[in-house]
Amino acid sequence: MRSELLERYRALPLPSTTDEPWRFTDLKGFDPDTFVSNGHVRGQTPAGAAGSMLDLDVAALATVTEDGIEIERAPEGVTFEPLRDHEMLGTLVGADEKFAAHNAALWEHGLLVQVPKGVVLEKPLYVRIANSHDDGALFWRLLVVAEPESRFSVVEEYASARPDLAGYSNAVSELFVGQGAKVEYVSLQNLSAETWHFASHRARVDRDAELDWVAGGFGSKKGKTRIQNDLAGAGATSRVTGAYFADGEQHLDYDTFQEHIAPNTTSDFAFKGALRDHATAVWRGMIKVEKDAQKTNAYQENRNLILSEQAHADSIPGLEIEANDVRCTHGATISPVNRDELFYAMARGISRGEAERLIVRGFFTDVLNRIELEPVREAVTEALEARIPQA
Amino acid sequence: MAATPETEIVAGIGNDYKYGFHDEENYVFKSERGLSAEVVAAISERKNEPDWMRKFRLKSLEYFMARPLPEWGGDLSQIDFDNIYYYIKPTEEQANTWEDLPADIKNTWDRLGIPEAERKFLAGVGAQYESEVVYHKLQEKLESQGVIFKDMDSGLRDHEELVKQYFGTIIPQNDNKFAALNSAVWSGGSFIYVPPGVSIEMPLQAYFRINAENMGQFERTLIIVDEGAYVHYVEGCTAPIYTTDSLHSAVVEIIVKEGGRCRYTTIQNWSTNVYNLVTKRAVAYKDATMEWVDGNLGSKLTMKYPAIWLLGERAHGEVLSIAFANKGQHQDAGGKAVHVAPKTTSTITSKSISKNGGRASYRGLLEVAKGAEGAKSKVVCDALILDEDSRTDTYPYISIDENNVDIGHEATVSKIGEEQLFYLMSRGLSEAEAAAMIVSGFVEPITKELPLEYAVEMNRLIQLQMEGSVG
Repeated sequence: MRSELLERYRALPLPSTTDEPWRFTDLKGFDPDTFVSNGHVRGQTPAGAAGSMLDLDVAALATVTEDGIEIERAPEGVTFEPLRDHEMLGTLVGADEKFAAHNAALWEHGLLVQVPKGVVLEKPLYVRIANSHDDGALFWRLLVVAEPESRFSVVEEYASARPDLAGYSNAVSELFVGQGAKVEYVSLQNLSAETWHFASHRARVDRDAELDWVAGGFGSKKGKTRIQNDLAGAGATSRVTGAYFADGEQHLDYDTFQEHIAPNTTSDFAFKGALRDHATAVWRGMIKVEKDAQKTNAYQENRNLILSEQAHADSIPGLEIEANDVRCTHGATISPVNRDELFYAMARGISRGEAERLIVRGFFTDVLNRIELEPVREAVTEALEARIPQA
Repeated sequence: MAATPETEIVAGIGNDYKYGFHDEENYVFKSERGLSAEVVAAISERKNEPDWMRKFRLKSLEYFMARPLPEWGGDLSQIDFDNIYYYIKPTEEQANTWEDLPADIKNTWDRLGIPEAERKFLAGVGAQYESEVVYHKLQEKLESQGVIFKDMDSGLRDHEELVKQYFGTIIPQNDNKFAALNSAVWSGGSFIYVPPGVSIEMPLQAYFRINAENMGQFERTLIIVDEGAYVHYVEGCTAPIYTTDSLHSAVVEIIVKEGGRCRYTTIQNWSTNVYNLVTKRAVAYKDATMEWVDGNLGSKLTMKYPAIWLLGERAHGEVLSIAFANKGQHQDAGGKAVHVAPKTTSTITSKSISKNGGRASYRGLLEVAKGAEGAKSKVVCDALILDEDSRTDTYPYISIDENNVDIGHEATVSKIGEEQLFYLMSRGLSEAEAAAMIVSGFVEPITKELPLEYAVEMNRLIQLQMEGSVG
């Protein structure tokens, strides 16, 4: 089976900019096969523990590196263990795309989170995914099964052991949010600026269930993060809040898909990003409303703040609607720091750096306010502010 | 020859398309079906063209053959390029009075109301029937001011240097597959030159009529608006209803020089067996304004995205697009604005309605190149979806390479509000009337931009499309 998947991976060409989804993300110079998979680097020791941007009081804790997964703590009555075979594995993210296929073929260290029916966890479940080998490839796989009426938070954080560590990160996460369940899913990506990062996250939200998702993007060199939500049961709701900040030569690519399958479903995606230096970002968003998904309410927003002459953003929202009783809205803006605001602040004796910081903070306020977990909100706020140099 | 009896027309129409009649064919020349270098060379020879144009056509044919069909947009797989007539010459000479036309062709124009419109509110008229412009007239006053308004073939004959300077420069012959096709087999269309400072108050109109079955119509239009000049060009089009498909693939190139303004209005009402695959692009220089008002009501599949390249400082571009997709129709329409110079501004407003299984797609591009500092653009797309069998899509591409810009895009999809319907019905309107009124209100931001006569026509066409629909 794994060998078939590897064949599939090999048969798929590396995406090029002539493939529409990759038009703005050029993978020239990247060869996934030059990275050493899952550790086993001869004569090399791991670069040490990766730091965390979060200060969390957690119910469960796991750390993943190329070498393996370590479960440090897990609550009673909940499955929080290394992922092995599972009937739901691969049913949301298959192997029909180059990087998903690569993950399906080579992942070794994954995590299964399964919360039984009706169980409510106060503290979040936390996993850190740390690229720790120079030129290593880490294939991370997460499977979350929220049984009906359960409520909990899962936080995953991607980091590199050193800020100059070069690596390849390939992640797949599948989330099943059962009937009436509520899941908060936080995915913070703070990899080194020398790491290629490709991720496919997909969730299925069942009847009357609720998914509240936070995606933070600060690190990595280049790659693509795919986020798909299937509103599969009537009354399902999903909310995805994205905040990103890129600088230097970073390139971030978010590809989001809101798939409304069942009636009376709601999705609300808001992504805001700031870019400075030569950084670039591309955001694609598609709302698809299937025929039966009447009374859909779908929202999609992407706003970019451009902080330097050379920064660049592409924003490609989209709607495909096959039901008629719907309310779908999207908005996209790309704008520089407002010069009047900057002037106003500076005229009142505030330094340029401080004024810019105020403006960036103001820009992100509404997306930050959507983040319910306070430590996550604080960590994201801090990560954003840390990117603005002091005057 | 008399036109088809009214009853037959009605039977074929379904949704009350009143232009579905056709004349019997009584042509001077009709090419063989299909496309080849021989067909292309024959067209050029018959038109007695200069050698450069013959070569241009043949090269374009190579490009057309080499390019694959686009895989995006609508379904093009059913077009049978070998079954199309690429050139039909209906009359020997072009007329400049309606009476000089053969009776059946004149009758067609009368039924379309063109001579009457000319008398009332037009500064000039060109009427294209199949491949050739059979009637052409410009008010003498304008002629004496140096305005040129001719069919493209006469334009090439009489003003070869001017044509050669601009032809194919805005839309290169290999721009896309259908631009290449048009460049190979083009015939008819308009050539317009407005001298500096001349403002043409009343619109110039071109009307395009396909009559034969499996006809391919490939008009080519070139408009040059010189410094500080103004023209409003209006085009309309209709075709008979046949069970097999026809192809309309036009290329329209427009140059608006410093301080000039051009407005180009289209009311596209092809019958639902016509593939309408059109490339339209304008360049606007310093302080110039280009406006596309694009109404798409007819055709089987339309793929058309009028574009404006804002090349000079403070140039302004505007695209107003209405699409109505009814049963069996796919309107893949939109607009493009490319900001190249500083302080350029653009607005794209799209209103689409899908009904009865129709599909309306907005597809657009907003691009700001490096150096277009202070550019501003706003793209607003609203879609109304009238029943559960219909579909609407929005694909607005945005690509920004300049940091000091202000760009906004918004889109909404909704159905007719029940409160609005209820309110209107409580005032004594039937449900269908109320729905039609709401739709008219929905597209009003665009229809109000049309000259009165066309606004009335557009509203009437929308009413027709709305007939038999229940909100």
